[in-house]
Amino acid sequence: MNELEKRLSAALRTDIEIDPTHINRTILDVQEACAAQPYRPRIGFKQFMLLQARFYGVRMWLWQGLVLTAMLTGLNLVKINITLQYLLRMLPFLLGCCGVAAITATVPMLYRSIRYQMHETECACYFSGVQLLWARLLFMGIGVLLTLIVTVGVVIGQCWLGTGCAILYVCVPCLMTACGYLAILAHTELERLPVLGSVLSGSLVLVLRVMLHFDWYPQQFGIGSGLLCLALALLCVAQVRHLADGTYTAVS
Amino acid sequence: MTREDQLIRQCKAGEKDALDELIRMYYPDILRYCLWHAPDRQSAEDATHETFLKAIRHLDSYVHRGYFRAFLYRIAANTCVDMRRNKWSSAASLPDDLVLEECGYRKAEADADFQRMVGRLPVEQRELVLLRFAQQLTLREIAEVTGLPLRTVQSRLRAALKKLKSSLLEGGWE
Repeated sequence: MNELEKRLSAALRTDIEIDPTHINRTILDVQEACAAQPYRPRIGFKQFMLLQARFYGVRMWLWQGLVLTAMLTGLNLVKINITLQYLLRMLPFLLGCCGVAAITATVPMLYRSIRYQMHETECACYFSGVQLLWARLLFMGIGVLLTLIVTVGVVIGQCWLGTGCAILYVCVPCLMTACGYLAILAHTELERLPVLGSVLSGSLVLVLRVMLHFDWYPQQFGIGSGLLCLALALLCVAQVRHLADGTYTAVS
Repeated sequence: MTREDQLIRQCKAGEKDALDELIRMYYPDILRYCLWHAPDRQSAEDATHETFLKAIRHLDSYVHRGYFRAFLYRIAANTCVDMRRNKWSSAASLPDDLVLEECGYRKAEADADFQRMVGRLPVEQRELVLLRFAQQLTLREIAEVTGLPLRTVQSRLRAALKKLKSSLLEGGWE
């Protein structure tokens, strides 16, 4: 602090006399207001998550179960109707679409839940919007993870592809979609999510189709693919951290 | 864990004594802040009273990360703005009589000069100067109170100090 700042502090930091009757009246009124407020039970984040699971998690997981069933049925239908050789050629594209679909399918529910968040918040307890978003993303993430594990498991089980390739073909598009949606949530208004999300998913499917057309799919899970997955996962984490920083304002 | 942290935790748990202590801890600072913005002492006391009532109403939604003082000042700032708009008919003025009672005449005169110069600063700079030098808030706390980015707070404060310094130099200050 330089001389001017010290002088300024001394001049502005004036002594004031406190009227004890006024401070006592304030304390009394505040205590009365405090007593008049309805009792809100305090719960921890774990309990909050359990409550949220009832309101949000179950519905989300049921929906993801339906999506998974539809995806597996689709894969089986494709398998029945085309030759194995053509199936093997199509599989990277189909798995990529599954990865994109696993995330995209959750967006309408996520959007709806964020839009009407007050209802869920009031029903569950008084937690901040960021914590509520954490809960939604966590439930969504659990569902997506299970969906992907089952899809990859089926593909490996049917001996259509090796483990590395199956993970690569599903994970990269899925992580790209997740990254894109998280970036939209973190950096734009919620109202734009449906339009921007549709554009994102559509573009990714188009890119996957172009890659299939030109045979650009890598044939095995190498270091490059691993690094790509890691980079995308880190990007996802960065977006989630950005959301958690409090910059997230659900909906006006 | 600081005493403030403990008190806030106890207040959230509904302990009356903690509430009492918390109010006594911050009452003088908030009253001093309101005195800068209110036309008279009575209005400042009303604003302080209202600030604590609002703070307790919003305590549930407050997540404590070490910025309770900033939280209170933000409420106080909003309360003063609301009251100025609705109740206080005369424009807010800097309370010149605050210092004169207790200080020597020459010092009081010099202090009053400083206060008048601060009063002539643009509103957005004046508010920052008051929060920084009259209320002794940290830059980060000021950013929390005003909702401005930290860098903006720094640059505005620097500009205000430059302006004050040039006014002082014109008046022959050394």
